[in-house]
Amino acid sequence: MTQTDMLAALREDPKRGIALVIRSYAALAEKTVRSSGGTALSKEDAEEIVSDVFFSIYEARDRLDPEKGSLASFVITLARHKTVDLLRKRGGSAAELPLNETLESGSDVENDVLRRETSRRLALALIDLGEPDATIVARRYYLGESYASIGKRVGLSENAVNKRCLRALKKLRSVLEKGE
Amino acid sequence: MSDMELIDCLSQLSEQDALRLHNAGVDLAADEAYTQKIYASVMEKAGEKGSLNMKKITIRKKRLALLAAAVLLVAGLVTAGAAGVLRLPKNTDELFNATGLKPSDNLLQVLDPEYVENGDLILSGKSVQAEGYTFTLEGVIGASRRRNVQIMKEPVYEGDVEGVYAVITVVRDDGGLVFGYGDGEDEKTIHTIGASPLIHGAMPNVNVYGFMSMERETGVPLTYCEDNVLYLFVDITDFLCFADKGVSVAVYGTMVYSAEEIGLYENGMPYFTDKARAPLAIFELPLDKELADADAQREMEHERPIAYPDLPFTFTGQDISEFYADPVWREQTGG
Repeated sequence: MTQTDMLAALREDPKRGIALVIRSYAALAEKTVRSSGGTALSKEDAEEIVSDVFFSIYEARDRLDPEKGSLASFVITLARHKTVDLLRKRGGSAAELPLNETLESGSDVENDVLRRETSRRLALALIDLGEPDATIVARRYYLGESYASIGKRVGLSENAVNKRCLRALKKLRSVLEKGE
Repeated sequence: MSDMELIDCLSQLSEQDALRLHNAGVDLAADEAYTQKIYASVMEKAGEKGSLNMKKITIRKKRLALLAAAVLLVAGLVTAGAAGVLRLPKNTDELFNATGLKPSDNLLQVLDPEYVENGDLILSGKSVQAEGYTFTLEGVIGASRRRNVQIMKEPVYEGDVEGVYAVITVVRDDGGLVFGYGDGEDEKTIHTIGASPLIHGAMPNVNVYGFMSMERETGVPLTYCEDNVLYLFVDITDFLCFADKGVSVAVYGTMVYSAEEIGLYENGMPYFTDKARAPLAIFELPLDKELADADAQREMEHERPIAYPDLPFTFTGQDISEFYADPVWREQTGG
């Protein structure tokens, strides 16, 4: 399902369209909310924000312009902004804002560059694992999904997913260490 | 870097890198339960009833991939001059470009000579009726698929992936739409017909790796539904080298494969055991035994933990203790 298909579905059959968008991006949105909000947010808060993100997209469906950026980027940006908005509404003090935001504004430039570079190399190495390992590792460690749930998605036993994760970690570590 | 540090880094990938993964085709989609929950909440906010017809969505979602496969296959047949021999969907030009599928330049002749007439690929035509459906092994065809993994603006891989596909059609005996098998919650809401190649004589729990060959890049079977006929395209490319041992395709109606659902006859032929939850059909592929390739078999056995009952783990190159830890294996072997 491409972005073009989803946008077309949103215009022609909004209910079906938003369902497709939710299925494609809700996990990414939830991860963004959790990363941005940290422990300041409950599970219910996170779900409410994710729901708000997709409600905004549903409401703006006729104004979405693919020329101005990808739908995935839009979802992530909305998720981050809505999370920060909620935290600010609740108290507004910097202490309650997520740690990563305060760190970024604290301009520890060297650490920030290093962190971004490690993230980039890790993402590329993860893609190089090929499928289904890339999906298995991303769902397990990035999205925090259970082995059983991943196994169901990729058609492998829980045990097999566990083994593949362990092997993939070994490969990823090797790739990262070679590059150092 | 320790495992914990690595896992920590993975959990904190930047948003930009998450998009990289998404753009490269890594499956980060939400599960059905979460999708349903968020959808219902959005519809509530919109003042509309939040009832989501996932069947319809799933079918529509799959149409893209299915149509593309169909296009490729139709064109592949025309290339081979065998059009009309194999029952395939009608023209599917509309999605040809969208999916990157294209006809194979080199249609492989993989069938046993007795199935080939006048130099054309011929259909097997074997049919099985089960659960109100008729399943037919139409034949085996060649196809290629454009692979273009794009990360941001830099393509990291471009090229055609040549493949060989077994084509199976599914028709409901009452003429209705084909989907919705089984009693499980997933089976009720999602189109769940699966098809997987199985190597004759291989242990059922290791034959599970056949399930990854349905579509080599995604692990999802290529399917297409047209005029109430469901076409399953099962990627058997990696299994051709086992032609001397025999390869079958199992068709089933569950989401998840379980080793105990497949048994082996003495000659190595697989069959559905009485524990199979939604057995539908098993077809032996009429492959030309000349395709057998011992080196390729060894290579595949090394890459994937394939083992045979009388030759356990000989070529696996894997840590045997991992297999003994597998509960399915332990149950089957008593230890």
